Amino acid sequence: MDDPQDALTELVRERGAALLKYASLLVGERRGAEDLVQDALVKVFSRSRTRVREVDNMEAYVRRAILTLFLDSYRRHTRWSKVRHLFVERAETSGEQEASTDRVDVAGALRVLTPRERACVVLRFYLDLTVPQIADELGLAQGTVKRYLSDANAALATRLAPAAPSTRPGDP
Amino acid sequence: MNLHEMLHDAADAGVPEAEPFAGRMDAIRRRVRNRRNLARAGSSTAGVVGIAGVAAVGTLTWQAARPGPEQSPVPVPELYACGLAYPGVLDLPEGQVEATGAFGGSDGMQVSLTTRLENAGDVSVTTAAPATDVLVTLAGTGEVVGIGLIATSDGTLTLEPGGTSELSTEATLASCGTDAVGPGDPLPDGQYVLVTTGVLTPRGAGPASSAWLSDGILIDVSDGQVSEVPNGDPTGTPTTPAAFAPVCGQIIPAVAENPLWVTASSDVGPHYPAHPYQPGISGLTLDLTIGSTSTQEITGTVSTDTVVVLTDDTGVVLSWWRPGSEGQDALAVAPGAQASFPALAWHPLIDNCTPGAVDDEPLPDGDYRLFAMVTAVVDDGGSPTTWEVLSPPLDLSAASDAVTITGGLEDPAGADSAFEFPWTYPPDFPEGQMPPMDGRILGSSGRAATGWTITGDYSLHGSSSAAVDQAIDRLLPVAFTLESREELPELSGTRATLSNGTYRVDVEVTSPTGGDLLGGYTIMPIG
Repeated sequence: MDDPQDALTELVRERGAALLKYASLLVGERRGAEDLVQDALVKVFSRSRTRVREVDNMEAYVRRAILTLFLDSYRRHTRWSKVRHLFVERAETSGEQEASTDRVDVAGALRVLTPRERACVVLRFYLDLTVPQIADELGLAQGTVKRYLSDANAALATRLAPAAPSTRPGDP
Repeated sequence: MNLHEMLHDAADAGVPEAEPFAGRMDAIRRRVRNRRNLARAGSSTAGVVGIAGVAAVGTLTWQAARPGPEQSPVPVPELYACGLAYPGVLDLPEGQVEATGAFGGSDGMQVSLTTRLENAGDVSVTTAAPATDVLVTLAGTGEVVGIGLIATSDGTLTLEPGGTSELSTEATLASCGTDAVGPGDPLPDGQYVLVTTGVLTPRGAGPASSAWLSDGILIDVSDGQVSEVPNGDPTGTPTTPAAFAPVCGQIIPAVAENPLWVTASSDVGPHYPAHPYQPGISGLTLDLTIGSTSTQEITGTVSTDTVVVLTDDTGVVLSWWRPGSEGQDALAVAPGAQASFPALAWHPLIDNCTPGAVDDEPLPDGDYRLFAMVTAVVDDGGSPTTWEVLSPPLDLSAASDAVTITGGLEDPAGADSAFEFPWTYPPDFPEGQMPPMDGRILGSSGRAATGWTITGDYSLHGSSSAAVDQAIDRLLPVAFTLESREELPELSGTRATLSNGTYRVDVEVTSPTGGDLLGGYTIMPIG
């Protein structure tokens, strides 16, 4: 895998779905998540200093780029045209999309969180990172991460309870 | 079901496919390649084409059948192919030779092309070798927008019936000229299709001369660099080259007059260079405010593909960034009103112009000027019209990787009136009859009875001569006549006088050593 383009192809083929799932939880909808993943891929693989030794870690780089873009440029550059669908009733929602009541509830519940709260929740409960790891990933103090998680839990509880206790096995 | 399980369930259900990006790899690769080309801006200055190179162009196919005297050297305005449409550009009928083009590499605007020729007819033919003619066309439309300047054309190649051969061609691509670039200049950013042509002369008694024409090679031009678009479709969607195309080391391009204005703002900082793998805020994010001087509401869209250019204090481009975004925002500006677009522009605060600089190299310490260019597509009587709008500059200072904004921000208290924008004309100023040159307007005064004065800093033009040239170019189309123009050696400046029977305009820009280009218009009523 000497050629970054080959690495790009392999990463997208093998890990594209995982990256898109991660991004879709952050963004809250599929199309925006696809844009986010592609933006992150372009950002990482367009660096001319990309070296072979880095290729093995490309997924980690792309995940980090997804998070960075979401919290920084992506979130702040997001335009009304990209988010307005979040604020209107989607009458055309298909039966397939409504197949899982839990999934719809989760997506709707995540959307009420702030971007940083949502990032903390996804990193904690989807990627299974610890609080120190989340703090390191986001460049935040651990106490700040705990506060975001606490606020997010409270917000999610009102929407998801009693179906989804946010604690995970092994949590203190 | 706990939250961990619900998140995984929601993610799995939302993305059921194993390879959700299977159909998009070409698009992603294309974006990666475009972005890599953009980052490789350092060698863009190598793409400057000298007009003298046109002299060496061989016999152009479309010229061969045209009457008139031989032109040597070929003047740029007589690039006959420009504006014609491929493949109808050929004056000669296509012969029985199949030609397949291939991209061999590039250095700036110089490209290496290989054309494989196969004689499918039953007559031996000859064609020029090693050079062929190269046309630069727009994908989809086939319009010729540039040519390849070929250094030599002094050999011939014979193709026997059924025989094959290859031609190698080195050509320097040059534009036919647009609103933004002149004839013979490097191609502006965009995607183009290259085709090669040649004249076929039958050996001995046979049919009349004909031409061969290769299939197209889709190329991408970004900041003076040419690259092939792999698996590109030369017959695909029509493309339009970007008009505003900064080139490292050259003066920032100007934009055409239109009723919109834009200002850029951010916090003073410090701001730090962006790093691709480091989360958190980095680079310089700019909020833009767009307003209008029109008396009617302007509606349309604003592209999120905002260009941010850093120059020195003479307007020479030192770094620039185009995000490659395809997004649009709605634009609606009532007369006298303005609209805010938070975070519409961004620059990574890295040096991508210095030859040899690697990605993420911070800006060298020093002072810079920042310009933001936004593209608006407005509804103009039912047909969309594209306007490019360039902001007045922000002054930046870089020191030890930290960049701070030192001037140009709007001051609510009005303490720094020199940077106020939008600045206004005097109440009775004949606005519209006196289009100003691009620059930072410092002030205006006067009234109809005594005349008016507009002063500004026109350093972005690079020289007083260039600034006055633009002033003349702006005034001639609105019925002014140039009466005189002179260089001022003592003042190291330039002056011109124009009139339209009603007003006499004196344009003067001085350029003291090491200083800004200061000057402007002095307008006096005639009679």
